[in-house]
Amino acid sequence: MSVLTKKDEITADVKKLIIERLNLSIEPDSIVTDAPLFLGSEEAVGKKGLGLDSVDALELVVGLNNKFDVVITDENMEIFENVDKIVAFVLDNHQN
Amino acid sequence: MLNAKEIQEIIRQGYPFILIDRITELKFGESVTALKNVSMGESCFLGHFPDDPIFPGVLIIEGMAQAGGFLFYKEGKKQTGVIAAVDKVKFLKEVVPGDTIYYKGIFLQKIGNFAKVSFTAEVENKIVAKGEISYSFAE
Repeated sequence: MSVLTKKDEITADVKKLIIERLNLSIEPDSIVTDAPLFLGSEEAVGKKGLGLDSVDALELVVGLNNKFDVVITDENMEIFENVDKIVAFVLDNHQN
Repeated sequence: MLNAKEIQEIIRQGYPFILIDRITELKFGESVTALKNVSMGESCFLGHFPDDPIFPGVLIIEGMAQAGGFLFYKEGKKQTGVIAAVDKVKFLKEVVPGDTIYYKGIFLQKIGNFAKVSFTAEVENKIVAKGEISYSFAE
């Protein structure tokens, strides 16, 4: 399996996980993978981010751990900047 | 393992809002079991409901939260957490005076100032409620 395919597959899985875990009523395709996920950063304004909050981050940590067997700690919290960074982290760290 | 008096020294809540009577099992950061004896003498039964005493679901959630707080407290200090989120809560069976509720919490995850715990509440080994609670801790 090529690297690109694996990345596409995990991107689709991560989008699905975000929607399911956070009970969002949106389509996976509407998530922009390089848009800021969380509120609070000035760049997030007007960039089609999801406007998530810190409690949502905790939910995603639990979800990513269950789905991909990856451990996220305070040191790598920056992966929640956008979907691309989450996907890159999963590719680097998951065990399959 | 911790009796009502010891619980009082650790928990931030005071009378009449301490909703657990005893900690029966505790592995720091892993799992906790607390029990609560539900009595007809409790003030909530004055209004919930006047002719039909049912222990309120919201108090079951608070009982879970209080039990789970013991997963994180530091010895010699008061607890610091507050509830940040309540997820996937279900009430499966009514709790009435005379019941003993066992709140069982299992630690799920911690990140930054937040932690998440999964709970069941059981009466006579039957699950009467379950859910997940996220805590926020002061910096």
